[in-house]
Amino acid sequence: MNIKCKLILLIIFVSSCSIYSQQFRLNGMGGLSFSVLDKEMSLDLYDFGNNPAWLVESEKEMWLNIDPSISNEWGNYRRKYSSEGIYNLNTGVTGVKPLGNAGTFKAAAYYQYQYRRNQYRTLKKDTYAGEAFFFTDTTAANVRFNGPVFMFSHSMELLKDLYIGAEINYRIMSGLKKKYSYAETTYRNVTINAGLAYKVSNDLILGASYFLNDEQEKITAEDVNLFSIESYQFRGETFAVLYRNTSVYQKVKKQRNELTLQGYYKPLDNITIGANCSYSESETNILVPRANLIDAPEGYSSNGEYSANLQLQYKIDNNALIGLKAKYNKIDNWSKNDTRNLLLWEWNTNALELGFGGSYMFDVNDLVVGLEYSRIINNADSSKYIDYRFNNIKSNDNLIKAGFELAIIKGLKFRGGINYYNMEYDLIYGGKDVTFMLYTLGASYYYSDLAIVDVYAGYSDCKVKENDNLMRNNFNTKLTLRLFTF
Amino acid sequence: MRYLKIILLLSLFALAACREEGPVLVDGNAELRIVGLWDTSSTEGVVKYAPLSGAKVILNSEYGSFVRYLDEEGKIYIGNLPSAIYDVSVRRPHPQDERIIVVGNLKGIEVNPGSTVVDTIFGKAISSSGISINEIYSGGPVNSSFFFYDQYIELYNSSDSVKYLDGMTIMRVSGNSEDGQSGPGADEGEDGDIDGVTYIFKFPGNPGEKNYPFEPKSFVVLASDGVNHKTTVPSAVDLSRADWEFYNQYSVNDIDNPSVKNLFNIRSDKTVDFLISLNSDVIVLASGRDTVWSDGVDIETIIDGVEYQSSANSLQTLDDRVDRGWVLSPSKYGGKSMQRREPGVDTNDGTLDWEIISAPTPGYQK
Repeated sequence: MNIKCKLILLIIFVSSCSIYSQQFRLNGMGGLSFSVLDKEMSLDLYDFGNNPAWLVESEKEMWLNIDPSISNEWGNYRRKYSSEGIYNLNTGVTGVKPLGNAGTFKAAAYYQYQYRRNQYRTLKKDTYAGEAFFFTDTTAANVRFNGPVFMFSHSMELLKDLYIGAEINYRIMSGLKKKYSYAETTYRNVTINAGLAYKVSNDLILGASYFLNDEQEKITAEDVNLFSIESYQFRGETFAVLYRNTSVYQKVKKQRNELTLQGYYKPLDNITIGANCSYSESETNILVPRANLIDAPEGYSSNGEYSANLQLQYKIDNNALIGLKAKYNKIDNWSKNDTRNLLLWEWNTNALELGFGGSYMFDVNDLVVGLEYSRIINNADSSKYIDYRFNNIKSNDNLIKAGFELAIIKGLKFRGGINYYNMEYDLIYGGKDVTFMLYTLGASYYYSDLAIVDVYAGYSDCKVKENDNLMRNNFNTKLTLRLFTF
Repeated sequence: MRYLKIILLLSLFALAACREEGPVLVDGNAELRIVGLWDTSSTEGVVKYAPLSGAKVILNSEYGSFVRYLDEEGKIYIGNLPSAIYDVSVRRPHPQDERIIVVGNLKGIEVNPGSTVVDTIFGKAISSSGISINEIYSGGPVNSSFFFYDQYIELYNSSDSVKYLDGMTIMRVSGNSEDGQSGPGADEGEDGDIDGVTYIFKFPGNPGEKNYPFEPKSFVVLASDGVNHKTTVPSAVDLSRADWEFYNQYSVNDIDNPSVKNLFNIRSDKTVDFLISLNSDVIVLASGRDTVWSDGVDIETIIDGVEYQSSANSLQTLDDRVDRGWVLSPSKYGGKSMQRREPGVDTNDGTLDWEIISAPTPGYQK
């Protein structure tokens, strides 16, 4: 391999990154979350409650992350319209700049590239989004999506102990199917997250945030080389309306509103509690050209979601910590045929996760060892009237995470971790007795107070007990270069 | 602070309250019960119905068409149907004579959510209806060089007697499409003819003459060019043995195979070959007795007409008196063809009479 090729590969590797990938320490430790103290995954309103108003208190230092990442997913344990595999390459930077009395500013700019291998017929970017609608042509092909993402966030203390903040994300992507029908996608996504936080005392902080997500996906396939475009608008999975023309077109519009209340409470010096609850509702409109209308309603889907999340960390002493977690999530969703106002599919899920874990920091080489266990109880009820398919599924899942961090020499730390996740019933892919294993490795090098270099690699495989041939694998690696002066 | 918390909580509840309710009626739970009967009486005035046992049932709706079969008692139950407007055709060969087809059609059955539609279809024996357009191959073979010159139209004589093609005309009707006009094949001005003729070719001779016989129960292939197109594109059709080819005597470069008889152009302003649209057109066969095509072709002289369209939501433009339906054509360059489900069986409803077949069948029917 010549130097030019090596250089190009190095640039690709260094310049690809995953969005906002700042939890590199915990990622390397097998994804431990509530049982380890971590500066970037605390229980405060910003890290835990996703309230931008608390950014000014959560981020006190200036830093700049350069985050390249690359991942590859493959395997035959997938759904009908899933691709055989996906490459992801991401690149970009995230920076935080405290501005004194003017608050704290955070910004990010990334570029994402995704390559889906041999995706079967579907033309939508997010095929399985809980809606009863599919849009397909007649071929399986490679599909790529790429485009930039920008994020701006600002937070400040407006009045004494009253904080405000807002975060705006803007993402635009273009997609291209590399075979007939050569469908092109233009995807635009804007999110706004605005929050308020009030510090009742140093031990009690309350907050609220409003999140708006607005996205639009426009899919067009033009008469390429005089071939007419044959496409199918599926209502459910069985019945489809054929559209054949010199050009076909569909627009998917989504909007989501979410209101979240957050709380942070420290009743004792060694106990910290983080809590948040939210309600969101979203709607999806499928629009197609019909008669004289450019955007005639074809399908509509409505989604409502309740969520509550509570975590507690109890610091027994300077070395030992115990963590508890309770999370509840409930989703109601329905889809209708908009042309006749008829219900096609309704489903609801609720999930309760109860977890406990602990970590211990040894005095030797700053060795930290953590272990978490979560029991997840899932219930799903689905009535797909249009396909005459009815399901009621209960699944009791077990998730075990273990991880460690070890300082080999001063400034150099190694991390490792493992996840074991057993699902009685995989609600997404449909497999029974599914085992998901994740193995992680990471390392950080602290170069005085100037920079940190962090690398992470994770490999996962997902297997179905009933069928040894069904597997899904993922390998991803990230490099984070954090600069404290720039 | 307390007010702030109350406002936030109220906002949460307000957000939860404004979500739209889902529809009460569901799609996919309609039922269709059909009984197929046909009149077997041999004595005039005495009606004797028998079940259409084992007959093929074709359901056509915006979701495409699918096929089921009646049971021994001539009944069928189809459940879990999505709400739509269905056209149903029941057809079976006559038990005593397979050359006769018993056909019954029901059009425009509105199947509403949760409803059970019960209906009876009465079949009629159809035979000896004469000449009809039996197959249209327009979309071209599978190829990437945009080749579609192996087009042909197939006729079938379903009668028991020899017919004669002398003086008959075959037309492509794609005009009458200006703003304010009703489209190809419509009776513009309601003067009893169809309008929009763009190409009109004629068999030699005059109506009533008997020089060009069309044998009973046989096919006649009218090729755009009667040559072996496989030499150009391997997946194309060999039409060197076609019965007839369209020859435009006003063209300077139209191919003329001397071993294939010619149909001639009667529009001197058209100097290209008889080529039809790949996936959307109207084809009409007429007796040739109406010699003034420019003011429209009299419906009473039309022997058969077929409209094919590319999209499931297309609107029919061909006059109802010629045909009450239209055929959903295959895609371009897919090597597929359109033909009548049974040779020559014409119930005057193209939607139910025609089907897409995976490969062209010039001069025969699979």
